[in-house]
Amino acid sequence: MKAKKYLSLLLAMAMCLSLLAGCGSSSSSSSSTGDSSEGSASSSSDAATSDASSESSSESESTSTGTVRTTEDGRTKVIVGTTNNAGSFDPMLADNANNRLDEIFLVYEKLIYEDGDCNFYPQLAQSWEMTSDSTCEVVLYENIYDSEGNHITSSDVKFCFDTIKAASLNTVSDLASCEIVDDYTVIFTAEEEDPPVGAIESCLAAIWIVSQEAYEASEDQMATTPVGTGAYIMTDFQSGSSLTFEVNENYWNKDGDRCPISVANVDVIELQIIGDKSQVAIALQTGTIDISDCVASGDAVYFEDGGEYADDFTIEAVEKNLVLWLCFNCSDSSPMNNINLRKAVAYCFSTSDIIDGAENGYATEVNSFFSTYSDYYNADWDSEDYDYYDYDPDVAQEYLDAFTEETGIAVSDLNINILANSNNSDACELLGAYLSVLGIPYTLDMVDQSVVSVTQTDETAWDIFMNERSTVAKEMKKTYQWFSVTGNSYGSTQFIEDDTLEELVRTASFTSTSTAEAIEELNDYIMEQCYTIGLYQRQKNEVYVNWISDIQHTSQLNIAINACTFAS
Amino acid sequence: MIRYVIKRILLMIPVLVGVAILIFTIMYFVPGDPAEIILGSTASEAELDALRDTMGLNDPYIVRLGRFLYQTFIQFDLGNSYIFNTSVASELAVRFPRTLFFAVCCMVIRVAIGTPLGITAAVHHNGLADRICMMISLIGISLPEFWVAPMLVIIFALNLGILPAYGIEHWYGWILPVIAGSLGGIAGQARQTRSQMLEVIRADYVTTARAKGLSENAILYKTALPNGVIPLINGLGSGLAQSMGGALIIENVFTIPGMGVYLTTGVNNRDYPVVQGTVLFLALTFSIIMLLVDLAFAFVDPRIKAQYERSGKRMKKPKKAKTGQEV
Repeated sequence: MKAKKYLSLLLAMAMCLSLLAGCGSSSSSSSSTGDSSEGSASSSSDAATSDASSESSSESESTSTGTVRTTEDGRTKVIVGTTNNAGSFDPMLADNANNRLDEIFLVYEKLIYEDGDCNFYPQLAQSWEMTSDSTCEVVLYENIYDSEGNHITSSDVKFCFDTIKAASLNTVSDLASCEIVDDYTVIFTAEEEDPPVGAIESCLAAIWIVSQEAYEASEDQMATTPVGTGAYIMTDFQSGSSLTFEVNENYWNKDGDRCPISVANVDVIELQIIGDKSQVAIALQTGTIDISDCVASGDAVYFEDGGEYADDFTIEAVEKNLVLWLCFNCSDSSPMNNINLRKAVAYCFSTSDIIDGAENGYATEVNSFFSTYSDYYNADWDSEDYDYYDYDPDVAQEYLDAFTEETGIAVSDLNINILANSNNSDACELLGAYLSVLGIPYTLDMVDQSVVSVTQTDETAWDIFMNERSTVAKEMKKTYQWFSVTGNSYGSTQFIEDDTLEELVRTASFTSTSTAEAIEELNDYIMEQCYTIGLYQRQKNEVYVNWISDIQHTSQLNIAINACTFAS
Repeated sequence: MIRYVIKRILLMIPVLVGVAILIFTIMYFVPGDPAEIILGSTASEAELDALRDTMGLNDPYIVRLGRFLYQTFIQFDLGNSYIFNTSVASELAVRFPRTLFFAVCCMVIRVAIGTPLGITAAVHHNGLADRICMMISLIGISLPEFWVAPMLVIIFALNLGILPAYGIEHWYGWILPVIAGSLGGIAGQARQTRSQMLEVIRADYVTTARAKGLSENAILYKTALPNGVIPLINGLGSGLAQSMGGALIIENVFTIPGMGVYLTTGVNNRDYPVVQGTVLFLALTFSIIMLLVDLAFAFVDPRIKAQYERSGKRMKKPKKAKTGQEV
């Protein structure tokens, strides 16, 4: 009996010891790079020379301290780590959906390129001109060839447009037709005489152009065998594992000065898909990869000032162009249709505390539902004088009392249903905690990401909903769809029935009536009525070795690795 | 025996059809909209409806089921992924060997380490060796995969730097995943082997063998083990099947692009062709594994082999004698 007892104790000690032995610890604490001031795009910490050891060195590759990795034949090479497993190169897939492979821009090109700041650059189109509110004439360069030597002409542009249109994808939903004028000129016509602001250009910046002949010859619609006009050719594709791109020696646009990402600053790009986010930091630390923007916020501390690997890497926190919205159900089925209750909730929580708790400090507060990257974001909104529902429990209590007085509903009789998913569960939990402090009972309804939209359309299923929105591409159309009663078959997304809002959103969204003042008026009205509150923009951590610098980004704010600077 | 095998193969067909109908029905009723996942949350209702029409998602249940069964069992086409537009069959053809290799490696290690552990424990029943073996197996069962896998990465990849943290491009990239995936199996195998051996060791024929003067090794491995191996083979078969479909955590941590990750991604994205095709393929694989297990039984136990052979033949009618009575 005693022997069994001692054996059990020994076993328990062994398990505890193994737990402690397996857990690592950082050498020192470091200041967080997430405390950036509002509106700033990024912050960085400089570091010294990189450590040369690489776990993934093979006989054919070598790394030198402080200089770019090279292959056996002397070509420059960089290895990028990503957790994005979207694995199709089909250029006709929807541009803004989950299945888009981020690195598609390396092999394909668009008519025009839109960067993260909503600036447009010519790519395959040498010019584009709005000949009317609803038509746009596009003129191609005449010397465009893809990697197999196919000459790109206006018939290929029309083919790509028609294929996407026939597939009912929303990439070109605002465009009705593409007509050929001559070999290098096409005219796009919008669906509506008065299309939403920026809709036509956004469509032009969303269509990847490929040769009709090459696409039709492909057995899998170029899903794994892309043939494009881009600066790189994909030479190896291991689904779910890795992709390799090599510079296209016959790239038609070698000088590349027309477009920031039409360059090839490195010869070979290897993309490694990493299944688990925690493995990204380990891959960087072991030298398996050179750069990644998928480092978990909890692992960033290793690369920041004072961190174990701070000397070997540079870390930059980059704001995403997605804004987390706090949305209220304004239907008759929900108590949130009362403005006093909405304002009570709006004043009852601290956004900065939610950022610290849910995002480890890696996010930036915003004072609008527009993102800071948007043309429509007003810098005045970041001033201290601008009252955007700052945390004030006393004011929250006043509004709550006003709600009770107006409706006769006791606070304890409420049960606010917060709709949460895996992307925002922490933030929703913290919000719920704040509601509890105010005495408002709540329920946290966790749903799978794939059923969020279905649940959202049920006005009885939620009262408060957090939604991450991109407000850069096709902004005003998305704003219109969200707030207008004609935006969806069931009304506005938040079931708002407000004639003033309807008029304002229509005025602000369409080309013929939209002005900066109209958009600001819309923003102010939404804020006054407390329909939707912009909370914050998350940051992602970009970590890279010291022989990479001057990180460039695509319009989706992913790293444009080909356009970065590499120490030679 | 061949008739038995053919009969079993033919029986797989209704099983697979049943699985196909079941998985199709489940996916039909699971909430979620593939069109929305493809187009993103900003798509309008009209756009979503148009895409659903194009994908055939607005058709009635029976029409979609019929189309799916025809495509799968007549045309032998598992379709294309909604999300990635790649052929499901070609993806499975690439991923299946990886998952199979992983499962087989885990099984080999499970047998190679678990069986001797179990035999040792049984032979030294209630002794020190028994307790040590059972403690090892208890540790193996208790440690969850989602903890073991990252710990192995930290120890061997990050701290010691002798093995890669993820990836299977090289043979040594499989070491850590196989270790992580087989620990629980070793423990289970050891316990099962011990339990079986304890039953068999006390049998009369083992006493007889000992009385005849056979060596202990001969008694253990030539007399006792073959008699106790039937449940172990069964356990190995189910373990192999489980590794094929349930290695998601290992595949995720070590970035093994196998079937577990493919299936889970399909479920999360409501990618119906991927889920249906993968489940059907797994059902076929499991059926084949169970057939091989049953054939292994026949190989090990002649009585079972005779039973199979009898079941494959028709029972002959007894002859009637001239007097009208049965002989």
